[in-house]
Amino acid sequence: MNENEREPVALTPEETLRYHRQIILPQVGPQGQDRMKSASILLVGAGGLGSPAALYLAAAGVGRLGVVDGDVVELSNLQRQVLHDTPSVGRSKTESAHRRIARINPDVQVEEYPVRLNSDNALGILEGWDVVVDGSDNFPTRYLVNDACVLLGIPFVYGAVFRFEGQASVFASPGGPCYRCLFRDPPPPDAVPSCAEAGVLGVLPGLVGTIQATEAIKLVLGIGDPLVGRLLLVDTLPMEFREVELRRDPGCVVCGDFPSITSLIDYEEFCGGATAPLAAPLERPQVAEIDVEELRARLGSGRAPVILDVRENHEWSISNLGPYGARLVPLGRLQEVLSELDPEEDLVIYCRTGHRSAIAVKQLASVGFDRALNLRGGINEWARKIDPSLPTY
Amino acid sequence: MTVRVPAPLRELTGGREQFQLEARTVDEVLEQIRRIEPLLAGRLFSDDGNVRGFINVFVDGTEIRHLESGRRGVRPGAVVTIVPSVAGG
Ligand SMILES: [Zn+2]
Repeated sequence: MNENEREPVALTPEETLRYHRQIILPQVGPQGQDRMKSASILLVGAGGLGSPAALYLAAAGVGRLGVVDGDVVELSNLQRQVLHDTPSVGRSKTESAHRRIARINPDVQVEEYPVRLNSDNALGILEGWDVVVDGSDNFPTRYLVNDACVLLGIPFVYGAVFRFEGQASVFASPGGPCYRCLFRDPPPPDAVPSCAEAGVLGVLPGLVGTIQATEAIKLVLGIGDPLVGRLLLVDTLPMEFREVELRRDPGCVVCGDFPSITSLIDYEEFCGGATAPLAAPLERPQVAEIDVEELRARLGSGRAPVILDVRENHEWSISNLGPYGARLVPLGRLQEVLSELDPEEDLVIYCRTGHRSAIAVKQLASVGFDRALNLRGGINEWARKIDPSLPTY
Repeated sequence: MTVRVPAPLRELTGGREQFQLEARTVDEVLEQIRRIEPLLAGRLFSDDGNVRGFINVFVDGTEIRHLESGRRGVRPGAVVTIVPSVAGG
């Protein structure tokens, strides 16, 4: 007889029916299901990762689900944030999440926190939950969730996505590493591309968020081998799952043997004001620049430079300098067109904000194009200062 | 051995998703990365030559900071994995 079946548990006949397929798993049993019913899981972020996590945790019968998110549902969220639907556009994400969860499983108690997590509210919101699922979309919140969970002793399931690639792990579990053990420093704030700019395959957060839900359930039930001390790397294009080993850093500032962080800090400041969703920590290379006023003057002077746009096709269709002879060469294809360019000619390179073009100018300079200039502020700056008829994005 | 370039860093390799190098030690791996992909190396390493705090380099699944100096040999065909911090959710 399974030891899970020894103690009487408080499941109703309807619950026994609803959860039958997992109750018959020997690792779960009625006692595991009861444990699930008395468990509480807090979701930080009801976006791409939080969506599938919320759906599966609700369906699985987690007793109490908390949802922290200060945003409203936008149309551009629906491509991946499957918790929300078209009629919910404009509503708060927590309200939308609450309604959806209630329809999936009315037995789940939902706590809404329609706020952005910050150093003042984090400990109050996170305290008392059994497990936290981090599905946030920015570095300050990720470091905040980490530090708060370490300080409170709550394990949290980490997940992050970018384009076609994702990461997942379990941090702040007793004796295991934390997020800071893996990433000691935040990336510099002046970084592109942001996720909004670089894009993300809609299914990817579905995949990673579902892995997070799996880990959260394993932690609640105390079964299997959680992703403690392991970082799972998912790459959907080759469809590869890889794993690397993580260790707790005894010198870690928050979970180490002699921690210097013993209360929450200012995470916006720590991350250098990186409030926008960021990925790809990249400082802008120092290269020769031209500003938009100067470019305009040159265009009318008979010393008009050759203009290259190193953005992607779809960005060109939003705005471009085609009327001034600009040519679209996405950054990844720059090497292919070098032979068509004249190193003796004046070149001006632009992108959306001047970051990718700075990389392009650096690449060009390294192969002898000394006259290439980066358009400072990119086409958005041109739209703001020179041609307001162009949209910014 | 193969070095996979994660998506957030591919702008620095002209879009290249992976590249090959020959090395017998971790130090040679890093040296080869510097030689073959200098822009990528500029992102990976700080001025003092250490891997930056928001990126990790793993050889066969072990972070190179954890490899003791005496155990920094690398087998032929080892997999070099670069893990950048990403925040998308
Ligand atoms: Zn730590």
